[in-house]
Amino acid sequence: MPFEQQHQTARQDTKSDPSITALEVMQKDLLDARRELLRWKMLANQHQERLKEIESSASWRYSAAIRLLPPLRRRWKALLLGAIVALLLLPLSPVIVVALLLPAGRGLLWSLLARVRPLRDLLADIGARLRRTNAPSRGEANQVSPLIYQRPSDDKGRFTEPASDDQRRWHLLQQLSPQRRLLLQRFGLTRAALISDYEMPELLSLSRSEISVLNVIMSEFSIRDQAKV
Amino acid sequence: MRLIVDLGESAPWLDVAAMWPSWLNTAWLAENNAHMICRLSDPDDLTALRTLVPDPERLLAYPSYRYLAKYLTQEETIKVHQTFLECLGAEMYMELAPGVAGSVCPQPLLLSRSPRQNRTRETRLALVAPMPPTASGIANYCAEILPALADVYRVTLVVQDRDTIDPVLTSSFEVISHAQFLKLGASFDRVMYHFGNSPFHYEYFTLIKAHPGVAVLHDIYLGDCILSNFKQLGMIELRQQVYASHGWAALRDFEGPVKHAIGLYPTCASLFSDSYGVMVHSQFARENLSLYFGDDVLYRLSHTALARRVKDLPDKGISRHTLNLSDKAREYGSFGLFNANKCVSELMGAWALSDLARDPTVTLCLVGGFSDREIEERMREAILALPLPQQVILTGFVDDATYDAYLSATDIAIQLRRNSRGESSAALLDCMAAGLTTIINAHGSMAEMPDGTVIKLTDDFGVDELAEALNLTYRSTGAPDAIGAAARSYVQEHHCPVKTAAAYSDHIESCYHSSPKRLVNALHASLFMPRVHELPPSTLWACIEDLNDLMSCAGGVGPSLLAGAQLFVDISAVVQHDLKSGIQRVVRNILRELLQKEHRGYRVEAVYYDFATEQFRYARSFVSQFLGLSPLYLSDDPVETRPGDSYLGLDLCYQVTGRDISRGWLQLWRGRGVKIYHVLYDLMPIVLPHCFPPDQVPLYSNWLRWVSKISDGVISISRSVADDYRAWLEQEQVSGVTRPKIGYFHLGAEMESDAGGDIKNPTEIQLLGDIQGQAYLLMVGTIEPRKGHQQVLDAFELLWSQGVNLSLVVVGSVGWVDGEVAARLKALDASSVRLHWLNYVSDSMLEALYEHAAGTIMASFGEGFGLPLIEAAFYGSSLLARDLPVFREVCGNHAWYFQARDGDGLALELRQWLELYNSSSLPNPVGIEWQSWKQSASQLLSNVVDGRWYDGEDPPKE
Repeated sequence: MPFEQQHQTARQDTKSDPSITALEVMQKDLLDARRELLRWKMLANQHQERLKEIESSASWRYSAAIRLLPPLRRRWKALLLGAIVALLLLPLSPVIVVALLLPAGRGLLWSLLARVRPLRDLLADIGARLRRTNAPSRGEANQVSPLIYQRPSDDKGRFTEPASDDQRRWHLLQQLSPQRRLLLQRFGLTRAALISDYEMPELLSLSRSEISVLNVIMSEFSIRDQAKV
Repeated sequence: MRLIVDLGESAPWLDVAAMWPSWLNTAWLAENNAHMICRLSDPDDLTALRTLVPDPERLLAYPSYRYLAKYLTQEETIKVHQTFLECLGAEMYMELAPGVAGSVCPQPLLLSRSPRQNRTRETRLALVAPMPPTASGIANYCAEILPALADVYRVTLVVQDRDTIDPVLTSSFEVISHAQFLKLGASFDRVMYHFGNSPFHYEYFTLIKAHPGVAVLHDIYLGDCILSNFKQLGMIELRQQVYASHGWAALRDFEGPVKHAIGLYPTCASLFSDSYGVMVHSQFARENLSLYFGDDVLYRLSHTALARRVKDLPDKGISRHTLNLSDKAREYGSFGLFNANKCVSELMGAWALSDLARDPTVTLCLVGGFSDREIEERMREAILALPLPQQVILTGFVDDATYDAYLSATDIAIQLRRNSRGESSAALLDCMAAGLTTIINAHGSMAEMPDGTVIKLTDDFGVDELAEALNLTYRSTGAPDAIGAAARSYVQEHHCPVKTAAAYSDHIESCYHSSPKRLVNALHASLFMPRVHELPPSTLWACIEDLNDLMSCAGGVGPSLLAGAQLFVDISAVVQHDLKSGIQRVVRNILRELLQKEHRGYRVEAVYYDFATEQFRYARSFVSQFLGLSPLYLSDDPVETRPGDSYLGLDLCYQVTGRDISRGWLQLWRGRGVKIYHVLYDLMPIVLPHCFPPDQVPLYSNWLRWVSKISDGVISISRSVADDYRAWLEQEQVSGVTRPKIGYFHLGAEMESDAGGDIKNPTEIQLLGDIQGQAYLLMVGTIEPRKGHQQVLDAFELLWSQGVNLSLVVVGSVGWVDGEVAARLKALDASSVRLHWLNYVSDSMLEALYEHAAGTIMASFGEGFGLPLIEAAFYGSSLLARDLPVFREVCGNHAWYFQARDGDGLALELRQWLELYNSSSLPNPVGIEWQSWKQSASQLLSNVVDGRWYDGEDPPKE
């Protein structure tokens, strides 16, 4: 059958039954979706094999120590603190061992350790990672640690001290959640970094007061900085 | 004229309730379009206040913000109150005190609005948009409308890098960088943002938060723009924006590859809450947005035509000569970037079918580059398959002069599209402005072109339709020229940059004059800017939070990022500790269905009461894990409510309504127009007090009393419970406006999570093997007096003594106070082969037990619903239930009912049941009407959202 004639027939059929057209569209969509799924599966397989290759190579094993460096660098404050504390506590080790044997002693030690913020963050981070790997199945999320951005509140002492405009703005910007500060950092609002290395930079608060605080700080900036310009 | 009657503090009114002014009644309020406002001295005053005022729906009760008030001068307090009234839309005002205006209505005051800055030529406008030579269509567009805008405002250009901008612009306009604008933005009178879906616009999301203005959307999806920051946040930020715009249901589509999902969900909702107003360039974009967002999000959205200047093009003959095209050739052209959405394969297919393909004097020029190599290669293959491949010219990317030359040289243009993202085609307007006859398909904003200015194909056109249109233009001599002329004059008239700039300006001025957000922002600046260096940051934060909450009562402040009205589903108990009890099972199932469904006009948010900080919080961490989603990195922020939101106490948590502080929050929300609903599972501690620990009964009664006082509606899990509750309200003499509406819904019957799978636990496999060999009745439920275990055990021991060969399998852990039964069960389990007590079983095991049971017995003396019966019917198990109204409601004629109240009587009735069982004459459980959790959740929503309540006689209509 000539091409044009075939086309005519197809067209007539399509016109006579719109449901066939709809079906064809649906089939096409399904096919596209399947192709996409297959493509991703293939990619995943390729990566799996490549991963196995890499992990079994000798150089990967040797580089394990090097791979540890970035997280160690990120936690250098906690590690340094740990090292100093370990050195200081070395002579007291027999007392600590005895304390660890007693429940009250263990409680006391934990409460002391929990007061050291970098250590607490480190432990919380490890805990969060462990929980993430052992995530419960759907519908069984009963052991969740809520992710709450704790705004700095112990600022009364700091605010009695004399501080420059830049320092005061910095303190106010610290009320914003880490992601918001991370995004503001690129605009060079203050001299000091807005986000610290121990913070979770992805953590975002959607509170409307964050935006209002940002509006107020920026209004204040405009008045003062315009005068300077 | 809206009149606000200010009642002042609530406490004095409650003290002298009898002195309520006689003239202030429902009729007067309606006649004068009056609303009352009252400051709550104590949140619990609300209940009494609502009984006192004539029309509670016209009362706005707002909290006393003592923290904020501490830092404000008297003058500032008045200013706050004025802004509050203005956000309410008050035009007239009247202050009332108890006893002052008892019989005579005082004369209301006419309120003046705060002074507005009107536009002049000196009004400073910051135009935040990319500018040439940035490789963006929006940059060229903004440069084109700039002269017209500069006629209206003193324009400052805000660009990413001012050093790379066209020197012509820097010499004519003040140009500042994004960083400078962030610091200086508040000094501008007006700000206008042009958003597109490319990386050039990414920083605008931060800038508009700091300095709100009017946003013009050239694309409504913006997902690619957000993803462009892939080095820092990328997918996380995109998912956060998707959540903010569309809620939890949309996030499922972002778990895998986002290529398709990114074009499904517009992620621009934050721009509606961050800006004073939004503009789009077509009715299509507007309608597309309204598919996703409700009117409360889009209320400040406007649209105007995309501006396009009618250019003076070079002479056709000269252009053809320059481009080496024959003077006599009939020239067809298509313009713009060619990607998968430009229907190029359809164009080539139609060209091949048309008469044009066999005429060597006809040429087709595709003016523009290809978005990717694959499309270009496919195009080249299609060209080679043509009878005369030399007809088609691919120009690739061209400069402006060459583009204009092609426009001038062309006779007929073909501009086709699909999968529109709300954008308007500048290339189409170029063709029309050039006076070309243009063939388009009626897709997206192109469909809005009037007939007679273009040749319009159907949206979903086929190649034959396009071929016919091509043939028409090929054969025609006069009409196409008429179409081109009409097109040119249409663009001249409707897309003129001056007209569009005027429309921009009108919308900007309207938004700046009437946006409550602008009023509140100005108030923030005036109150807190001078205090930035006086107050400690956390104090300043708390004051701002207080002010925002107050203004949100009047609709002055919306949530920062979340789009639309919210339905808060309280899951306080499940979040703190999931006991896996029956109620919590219902909570999990209903919650899952509510979260996974896309709701029109509102979003579902799970919330919990945080006893540590004494506030309600969004349960984002919990839901993210509960739905098995990737981490969203969103803080569990305190809940932000607005009038029009709803709260549903789904979980049974006595502390939330029992404690003053937590209940206070609910009262305060209700005062500002949040509807409060509670789910009632049963009235067992009241109906059967002897079945509960003594301390539980007053705790429960207290909870139910408070629920009845603070709820707009109470939804029970069966009609029987609803009837019991109605009777209880009568008994408690709760009436009038404080009496909540009553509704009911039925529970779902599917098993959770791992049901349907194989039993994996070896102990369960062995146990099932032992049990399967016997004929047994199954009894499911916690071991507590209400469940009737004692009576069933008595009956079975009697039956066993009479030699009846029927086993009993009891599934359930020890509940409240039934140590005695537990000990008896333990002893029997150890001594008898006919009794099996399974403390905890997996869902798969329970399913197997249902399937192999001779019947499932429900001997409870009272239940809210009787979920095990539905589950048993679901798996085909025969049903034996106590003759209670609730079981009759749930099972109808599909269960066998017993009435005995003691063991002997039950044993006798069980013998009768056995006879029926042996003769296969038992009621068939298969016909029982059960519903899925999805249906159950929609039934619940039909009460809460659609307001279908149970009037005590007829069941709610489906």
